[in-house]
Amino acid sequence: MSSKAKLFLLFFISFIIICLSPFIGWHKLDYGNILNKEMIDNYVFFGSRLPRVIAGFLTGSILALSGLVFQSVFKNPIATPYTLGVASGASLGAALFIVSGTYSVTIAFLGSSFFAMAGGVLSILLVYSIASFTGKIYSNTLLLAGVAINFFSSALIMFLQYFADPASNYKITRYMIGSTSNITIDNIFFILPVSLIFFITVYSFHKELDILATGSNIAHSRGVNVTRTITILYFTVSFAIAIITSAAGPIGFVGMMIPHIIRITISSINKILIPATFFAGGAFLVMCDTFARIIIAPIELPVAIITSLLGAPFFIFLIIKGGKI
Amino acid sequence: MIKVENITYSIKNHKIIDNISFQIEHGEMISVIGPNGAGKSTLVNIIMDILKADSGSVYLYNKKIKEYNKKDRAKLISFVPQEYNFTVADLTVEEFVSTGRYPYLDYFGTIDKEQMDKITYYMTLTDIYHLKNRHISSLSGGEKQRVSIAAALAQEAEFIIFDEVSSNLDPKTKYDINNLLIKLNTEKKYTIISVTHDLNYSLEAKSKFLCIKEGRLHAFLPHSEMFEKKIFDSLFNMEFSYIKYDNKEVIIPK
Repeated sequence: MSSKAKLFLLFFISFIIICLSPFIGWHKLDYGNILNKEMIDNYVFFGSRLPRVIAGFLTGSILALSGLVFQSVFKNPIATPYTLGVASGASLGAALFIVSGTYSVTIAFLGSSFFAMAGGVLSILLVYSIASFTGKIYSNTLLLAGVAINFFSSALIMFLQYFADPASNYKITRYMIGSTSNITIDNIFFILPVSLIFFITVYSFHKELDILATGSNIAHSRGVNVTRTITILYFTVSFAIAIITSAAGPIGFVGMMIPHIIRITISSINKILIPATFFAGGAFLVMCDTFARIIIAPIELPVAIITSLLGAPFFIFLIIKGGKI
Repeated sequence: MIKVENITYSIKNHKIIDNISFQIEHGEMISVIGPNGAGKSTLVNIIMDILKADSGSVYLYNKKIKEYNKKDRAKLISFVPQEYNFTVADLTVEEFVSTGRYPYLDYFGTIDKEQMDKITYYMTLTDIYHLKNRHISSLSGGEKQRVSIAAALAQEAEFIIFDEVSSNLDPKTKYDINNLLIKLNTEKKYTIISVTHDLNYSLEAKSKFLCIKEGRLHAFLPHSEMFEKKIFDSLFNMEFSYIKYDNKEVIIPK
């Protein structure tokens, strides 16, 4: 099967997963009542499940495509959207809100999403400033600065947790297990255009990403503006990640593994890889979120637990079968 | 024509390149030789505009290389490194050779028939057409180098810089790759600048030798003058025997 045919098959499967998901859940829908605004089924379908499916899809697709970009730019197969510390920065912001939120009306008014977003943006700017200190942006200085900030933020979170009261501690831990159930309708109206701009920007660099992944000097010799490409992609990916992390918290696995799975099963060429990763990431998270909603219903699990539990064994199977990553 | 004028490059007050000037004409076959750490790779990186010299300039046809639009520069000068990184992007041979067309492609990267013909032509020229659907990770060292050369050729630049492309290859593969470079120079009229430690190959290719020692230009001479002036001896601080054998001039350490 050609890689284009595989891409269409993937679109089709993703579409089916997205369409089926809102019909699945603890509450058995009475299909005749879905369009009747008087009935509970209408609210469950349109007010609860459909927004959650959309939120899950957008979160998963942004995470997967971000991982793909970072793996190519840093020429590192284990890079994830969180490698450069955006999520730790956002989590630190959220943790700061949780431990200090009860002391001030202003802080409480701004809310945890605002704090998480601020933490994410601050760490993005900090990493870029440190990396550009040497005069020119190289992918490896960006990577090292990012990893350092990541550890620094994580240490500050542990510091906060060490002195926080048990209730705040629980909230911080709970935030750091990402879940799409935190995403509100307002978030979705914001994330939807963000994900569109994000996708278009990344796709417009598909040729550059093909070359950059084989080496910065090669990309330079082919005529790619390496510094400009890395800078634009870094900010595009980081802001998108800051936005979804501030809404959902960190969700692992999707960002690292989905790009690999698509490379193994469909194609390594970014023209195909980018849209395939985007859709597969979205569909995978919707699928995991559906499991999260039903597996111990009526209690819901955070989706971040399911993504790795479900994805890791599948990925190991692919490695063994394909003999490579 | 590439003109290097008074290039100096330092790292932490240590001069890696110390006031080097020379000029390379169209159609020449240049071997850049010298001891390890002499500054050969740094010099090549400055010519490619990857590193910025502290002082001095590199001219490509009377225009400073750093003033070129990046894609225009790529149409004039291309680069074949010793190794690529294929851990993330395991493209097929054809996909990788296509990346050489980057400076010529439109915004969407459309590979039309004209582009495809060129890609096919350069795969045929380097004898890798039969591998076109193979993934690069599955190729041998020699095949990888051919793919890498094909991609650089697809840039259709008249100057090609090779950075130790045959260092890690077995004798037969090395011989084949070296002959390919000679063919590109003599038959296809490419200007070849090759960083190498393979002195006998460079002699066989009748190269002009750009000798770098401790960051300075030690000598820049045609192969015929390298013997009488005992340049190899002074360049590497060791004695060589010069032998004429089977109509070839070869050197071996004494």
